[in-house]
Amino acid sequence: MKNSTKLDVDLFENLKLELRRGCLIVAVLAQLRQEHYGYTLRKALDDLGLAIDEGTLYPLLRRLETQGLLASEWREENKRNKRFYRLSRQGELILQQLLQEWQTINVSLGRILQEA
Amino acid sequence: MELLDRYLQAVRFWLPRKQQDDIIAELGDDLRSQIEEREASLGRPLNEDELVALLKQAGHPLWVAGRYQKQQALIGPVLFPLYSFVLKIVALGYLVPWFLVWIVLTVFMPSHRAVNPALALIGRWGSLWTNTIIIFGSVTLAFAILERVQSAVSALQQWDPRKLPRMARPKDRVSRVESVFGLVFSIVFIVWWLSLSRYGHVIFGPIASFFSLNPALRAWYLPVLAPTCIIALQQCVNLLRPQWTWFRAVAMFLADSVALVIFIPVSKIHPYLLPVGSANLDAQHTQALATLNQVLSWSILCVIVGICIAAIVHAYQIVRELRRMSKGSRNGAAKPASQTL
Repeated sequence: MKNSTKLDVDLFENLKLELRRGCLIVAVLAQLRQEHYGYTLRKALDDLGLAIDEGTLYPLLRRLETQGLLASEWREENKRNKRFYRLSRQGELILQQLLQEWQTINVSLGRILQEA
Repeated sequence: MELLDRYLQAVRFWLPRKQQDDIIAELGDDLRSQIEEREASLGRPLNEDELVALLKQAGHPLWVAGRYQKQQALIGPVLFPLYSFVLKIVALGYLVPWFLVWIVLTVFMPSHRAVNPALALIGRWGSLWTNTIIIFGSVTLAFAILERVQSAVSALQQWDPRKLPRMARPKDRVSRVESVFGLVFSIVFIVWWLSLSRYGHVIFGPIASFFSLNPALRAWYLPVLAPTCIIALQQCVNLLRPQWTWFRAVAMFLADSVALVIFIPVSKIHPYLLPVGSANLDAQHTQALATLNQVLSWSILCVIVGICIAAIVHAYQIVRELRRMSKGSRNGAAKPASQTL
């Protein structure tokens, strides 16, 4: 019984991770329509109810930058060098498409849940 | 802040060399910002325990650095099912026969046991594991290379659904054609075997005038036919009741068991061939006799291994039939009694 509960928890955590993965990308891209550095981005997302740890955020930012969706530059602020990120032109286009896809999925899911 | 620097140094060690400075500067800034914010809310510097808790929350250095690495798998999800299938085939084709041969040699060949039994056993197991590791390693290496070049493998890109294998038909009947041919073959074998005692000299030609069977083997001459008779009976029954697939599995397993009961004592009779009468053989014939006896000895051992494998397969078929029958009864399938009895 205890094992089955643990399995259920593990299964839920895995599924939640899969569900969050795509959502986090959209959230980060959307939030970076305004310039942020890593820490303030994390704070902003957290304040809006989407907590993301540094071990997930920074590798994601690097991947999105490598893919050309983000642009970054090092600047000094509060006597410390910080890396500022913002959405690139290509990132804006992709974000629009992703948001459109998100809306479609959301509407479909709403219909499916209503039917159920 | 020494603890923080040690943490960042540990993370740096596992990072890709070209990105180390960049990543550490960014990660360090984030952690320092967290510390400053916490200190501002507490109104005092963090103590060591609080700093430890913060770093533990950030994650183990290896885990943190690992997130920056490109996701890689030695064998990816596309090739993994094929890799797993090949390993199973290798295991069945090498390990199982090796194990059976080893058991047969150890049980039936006193000479095999006699030479340093403990050391021989350790040596043989050692060679088994060495070979197993080499084979498994080679297969893994081959698939790892294939994984790197799989985008260039045209078979995965260009394929035609029409060339996929046909649907396997569920074997719910024993083919009558199979039963008829099997029965004919069994009868021919029985007739041939019975004719050996009378026409052996014709069948074996000039050998029969020099060598004869060990008299101890004569006791097994007729019993050797028992497994064939059981199979012939099964073929007759399945000719009339082809839906009794379970009967074939049971009869085959019974035939295997009887064959083992016969061949195990037969394997211990040595030599199988003796010179005819008390004639003195010349060197050439003596050598031929020794070779023939050796060949027969190894052949009988191979037959025993083959029967063991067949017995395992037939036992598995019985289990499968039982499962199928219980599944059928659970599903409430209205099978006629003739199909299940």
